[in-house]
Amino acid sequence: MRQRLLIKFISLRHLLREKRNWLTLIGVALGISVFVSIRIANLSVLNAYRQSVDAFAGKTSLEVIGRSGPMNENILRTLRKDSAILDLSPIVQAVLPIAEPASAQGDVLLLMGIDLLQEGAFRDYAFLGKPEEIQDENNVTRAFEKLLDPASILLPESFARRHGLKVGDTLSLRQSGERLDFKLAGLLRSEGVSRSRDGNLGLIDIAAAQWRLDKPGQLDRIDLITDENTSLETIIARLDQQLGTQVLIRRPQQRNKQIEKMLFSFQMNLTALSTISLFVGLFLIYNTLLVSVVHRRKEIGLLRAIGVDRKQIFRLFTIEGIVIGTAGGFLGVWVGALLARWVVRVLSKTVTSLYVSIPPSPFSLPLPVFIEGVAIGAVVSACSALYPAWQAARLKPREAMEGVYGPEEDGVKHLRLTKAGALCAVLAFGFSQMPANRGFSWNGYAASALLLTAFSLLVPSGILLFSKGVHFLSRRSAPSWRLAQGHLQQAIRRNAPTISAFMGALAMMISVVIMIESFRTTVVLWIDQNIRSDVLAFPVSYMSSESDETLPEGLLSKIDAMPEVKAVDGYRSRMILFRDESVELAGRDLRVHGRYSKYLFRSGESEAVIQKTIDEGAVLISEVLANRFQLKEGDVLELPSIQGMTAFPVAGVFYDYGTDGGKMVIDRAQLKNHWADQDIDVAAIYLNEPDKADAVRQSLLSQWGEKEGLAFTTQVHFKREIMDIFDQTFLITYALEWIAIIVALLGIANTLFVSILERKREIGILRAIGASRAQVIRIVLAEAFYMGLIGNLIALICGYFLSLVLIFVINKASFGWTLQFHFPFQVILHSFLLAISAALIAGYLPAKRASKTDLKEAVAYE
Amino acid sequence: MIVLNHVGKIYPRATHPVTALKGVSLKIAKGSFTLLMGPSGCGKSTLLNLVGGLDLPTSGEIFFDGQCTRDFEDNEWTALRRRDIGMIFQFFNLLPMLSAQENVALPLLLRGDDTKEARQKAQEALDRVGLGHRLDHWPCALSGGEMQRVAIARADAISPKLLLADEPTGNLDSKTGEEILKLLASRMQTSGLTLLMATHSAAAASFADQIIHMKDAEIDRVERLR
Repeated sequence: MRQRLLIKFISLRHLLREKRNWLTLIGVALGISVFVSIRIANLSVLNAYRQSVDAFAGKTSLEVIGRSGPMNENILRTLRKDSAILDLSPIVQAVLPIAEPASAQGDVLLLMGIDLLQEGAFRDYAFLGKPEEIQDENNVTRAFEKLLDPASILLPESFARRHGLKVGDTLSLRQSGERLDFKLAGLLRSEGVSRSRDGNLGLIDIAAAQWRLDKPGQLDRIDLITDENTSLETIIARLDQQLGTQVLIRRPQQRNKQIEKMLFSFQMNLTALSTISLFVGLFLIYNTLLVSVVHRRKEIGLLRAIGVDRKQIFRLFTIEGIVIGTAGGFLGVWVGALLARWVVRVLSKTVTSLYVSIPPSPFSLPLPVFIEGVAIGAVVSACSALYPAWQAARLKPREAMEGVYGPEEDGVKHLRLTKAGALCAVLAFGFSQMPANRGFSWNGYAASALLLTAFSLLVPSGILLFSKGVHFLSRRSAPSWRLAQGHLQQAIRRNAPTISAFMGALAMMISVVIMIESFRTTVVLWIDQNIRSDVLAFPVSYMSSESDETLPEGLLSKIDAMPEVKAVDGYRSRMILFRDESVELAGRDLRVHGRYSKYLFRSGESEAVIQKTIDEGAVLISEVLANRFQLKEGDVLELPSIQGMTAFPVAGVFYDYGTDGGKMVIDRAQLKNHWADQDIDVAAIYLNEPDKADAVRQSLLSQWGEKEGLAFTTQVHFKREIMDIFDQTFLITYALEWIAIIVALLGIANTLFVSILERKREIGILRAIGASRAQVIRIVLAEAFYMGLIGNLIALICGYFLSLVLIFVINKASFGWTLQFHFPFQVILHSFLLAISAALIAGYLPAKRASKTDLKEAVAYE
Repeated sequence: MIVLNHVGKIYPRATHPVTALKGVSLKIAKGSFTLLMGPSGCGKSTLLNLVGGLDLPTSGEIFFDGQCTRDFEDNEWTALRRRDIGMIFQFFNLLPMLSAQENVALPLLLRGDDTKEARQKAQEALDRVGLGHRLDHWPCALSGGEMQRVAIARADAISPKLLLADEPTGNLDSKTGEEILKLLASRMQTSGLTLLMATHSAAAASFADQIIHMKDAEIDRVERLR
């Protein structure tokens, strides 16, 4: 009861009246909003992906896929004989670019060839028609009947509406430079499967698909509905025996595991980054309350004098912290929800370009995320309120009421904090050396958190050291510098949390910049080594999506025959199953590649290793793949080919930053022999006179460009395009860091405001003994400058170590890439410019306020 | 030195404006020692604040060394305080993070004096108040009397024409208070400055040339002692 009275009379009035509480509230809200927006975006993207996968899987309980690629349709006969298989639906599919209507150019469409008689049992389709027709159960069959014409296609209504297509209109796709025309036979309601891929989906008859996609007698997948009374394990074991090693029988969910694992690492990294803002917000509350205790010493003394006990004071301050944190949580959740709209869009785009096609993710604010956001606000604030509340509770009434405090004698305390910091740093090193847990770098995250803690604990000693150094240097400089240095040293306890928060945000920013720059440098080096062809030719759809379009037949030999051309390397990539996981297998003309270009091998010289690969019919694997499956040079891989399992020795492990899951490379002759794959995705063209690349490109473009839907690009342009995609990937990362810095800036402004309130008398005296307004502004700005400077000095050291953890521990475990450490020296200059200008901006308003201090009030007795 | 013509000060409050000074007129001669005495709230501090430019009058005019200050901007007052007016307060008001010497040198540095020269002058000022051996001491290591002496040295360092002192002995015991009064009086005699001091201390009367007794925001009477 009495506590409630205190809260009502004391806490609420302080909270509402003091403007700096609003700064804290905004800071906490921003911190939480970043966390919440990333949570929402991660969930939305994952849900959208799962829904799309579920819609495609429909009622399928098992699926059969070829290990080496498309499988022979004879397999159906064996499957039909199995009594536990109730229904089966064979599928032939390809993702192809749209050539017509013009509005859809640049988009790709998933063309699914289905068995009209079987498909209805597997997935939900609804057709647009009269209501009575929709009620009719035979409607599905009748609509499918329309597909019997091999030129017919069914499209989702949403797609048709978007591109103004009506029944009877033509849709053209492109494959190998040819146009595949289809007549729109009917529209599907945007439900179930039709909603996935944003409606970019077309259904045709399976026979038509085999014919038009040039897959005679082949199937990409067979979906099965099995008898519920027989266990899936029994069926899988039985079919494995009957069908041999050429196919894999699995649950549809298993297909997603690999992708979800990669998504998990990606999303985990984002979540970790988003917690930085929370960390900064925590410091903000801590600082606000600590300052509040200092500022309200007399009030605390008075309350104690009139009978309020220690526990009540403790609770009073803890509750104040919780109120700010919870209110910040509420506000943060709503801001986060707004922010999430943007994050979801960017994230879907990034995930689509890196991992898997994600349909536009519907935005939602799930209740658990809402509760989580508010709860985080409350818990974080309660934690950060404990120490200030304890400080308030232990004040002795008489001392508190005197309200005069001498300089801090905190030497021993600083030493203790420094020792604790050193311990944290040692622990961080220990964690960084521990092994990760199946792709999840728990030790890396722990090491990062410990490093941040270690450097935060070193901040008080850092301030002391810095201020002593500055004292020595500023003896002969303008008095504003000396005064600012004095304030800094005098109020280490107040300044340390603010500088720590600012330092933490900056250190993360610096480490991420070093990581991205290292990544960038590595990628640039890798591209320079790998992409040496003067012109590259590929289907227009190649760069933008997971299109299955290939180059036209015979193009390679036509290009090779051109007098300007020295050599052409045909590159083809396909997916196979290796140890039941999807892996990219690429075939290329290794002789040409070895002669004119190179791979960066983990060991061995490029030309020799490539020659060995050709001579021994071996395989080259990327570092990521080697890490993923624990492979090394000399191992023998059993790869599923059309002849069964074929053995390939590993001739070399090369660095590759182009794929996430890693890849295998063999000579194209092997791909033809063992997989009967004659297609080409990309042609790498080497010229006799490389400086004529632009002219050759123009000539290639005019011959085949528009007509065949092909893109020709010079080496320079191609490299630039890759780097653009690279930069786009890190957009969110930078955005997250900026928000953390803004939160930290609110902390600096807050601290300076309080410092000015506290020093009102001192500012009054300065003015009384002759300081001008401009000089007062300069003193406060000098203090902000020092705070920015110390924050950045410590952040540079902390950021350097954090970047080592990011690059060599977290990144290595999460993605398997070896990055070459590259310290961009401009980061030092940039971070100083950023830190100091940011600190000065944060200090400007408090400085203005200080210069307007009412002199007579400031020097009045009390 | 100082002339006040019908100077008034009213603090506008929403419900009840407070009159802190009612049309006060007075003259303070150059080199004189004037005491302002009267009960708390009678307007002594307001008058000192107006003369020092820490506050502006609502009505009337203040002349400083023959110069009318009515239209002074903030920077002109600042310049005056840097050059001609020294101030001493009851609570000493030293800056805690500066040493004694730095505190004294500060007003000189603020007006742009050379650092070496400022330190030299600060040392001389501290020598004059008997604290030449405490140059590097922090305010928290000084006694009340010593702190007030540093404050006097600070005010004195700029060689002001006018010294304004607001209850400089109010926070000291009577013996130390008397020492401070003696110090102020001797500084006056040697440097020829004008001293205007608000005080409750009867002991101060023995050093002063005149006492202005104030009551209810007005001058009650002027008592000439010499």
